[in-house]
Amino acid sequence: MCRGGAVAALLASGLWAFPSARAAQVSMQFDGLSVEETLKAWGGVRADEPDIVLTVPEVSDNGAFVSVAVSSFLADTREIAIVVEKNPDPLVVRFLIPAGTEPFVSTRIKVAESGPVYAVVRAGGTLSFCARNNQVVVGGCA
Amino acid sequence: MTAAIRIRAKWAHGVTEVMLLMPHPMETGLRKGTDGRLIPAHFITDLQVHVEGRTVMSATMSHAVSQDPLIGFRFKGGNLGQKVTVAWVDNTRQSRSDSAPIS
Repeated sequence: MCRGGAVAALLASGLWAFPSARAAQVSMQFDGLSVEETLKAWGGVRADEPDIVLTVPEVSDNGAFVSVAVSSFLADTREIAIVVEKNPDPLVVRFLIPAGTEPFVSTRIKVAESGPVYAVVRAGGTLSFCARNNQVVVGGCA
Repeated sequence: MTAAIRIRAKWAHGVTEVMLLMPHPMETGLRKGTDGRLIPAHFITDLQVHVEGRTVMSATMSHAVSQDPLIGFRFKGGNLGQKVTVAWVDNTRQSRSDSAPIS
């Protein structure tokens, strides 16, 4: 937990570290690169439909409560993360899926402004992702 | 001080569907109060869900999860009456754990 910092350390740790202190969040790992570039630099591949199904409303009236659901049809899904490109801290939540738990999660997140929402899945040792655009009428002050 | 976690766990055809609602302010630390000062960050960082000693879900969360986090997932197995235990820890080291039977 609470390991901010270097991309090398993140790669070593499997997916990435999760900042839980405000100080760590300032230097979030996506610095200077778009989420997509960062994921690709980490060896992430864009998933084909319908290997990852990301359900996000096209338009959200209230960015403070945006319902998101992710289903993965990739074999051996171990982890599902939700990343919002335009948020001050893009990594919103990361779920660890133990064996026996279905690769599906639903939750509500804050979205600061219109932009892509990513579902990132670690399955069988590979990082895969897909994106959906979400338009926010009133930002969620994330 | 925090309100109880609301847990709904329903079993059907060998799969248990769980829906959790954890009352929590989930303050980002970026918002200003009426006095113009920043409201300190206060959000759940870790979530664990166990059934009879088996971990069925764990999550690490940032402040960008909505207020009163609502989380749904499904796991294989589970039996009627088995206890689902949900525990969270927040960034101020407060924690809470509640449980409910699978119905």
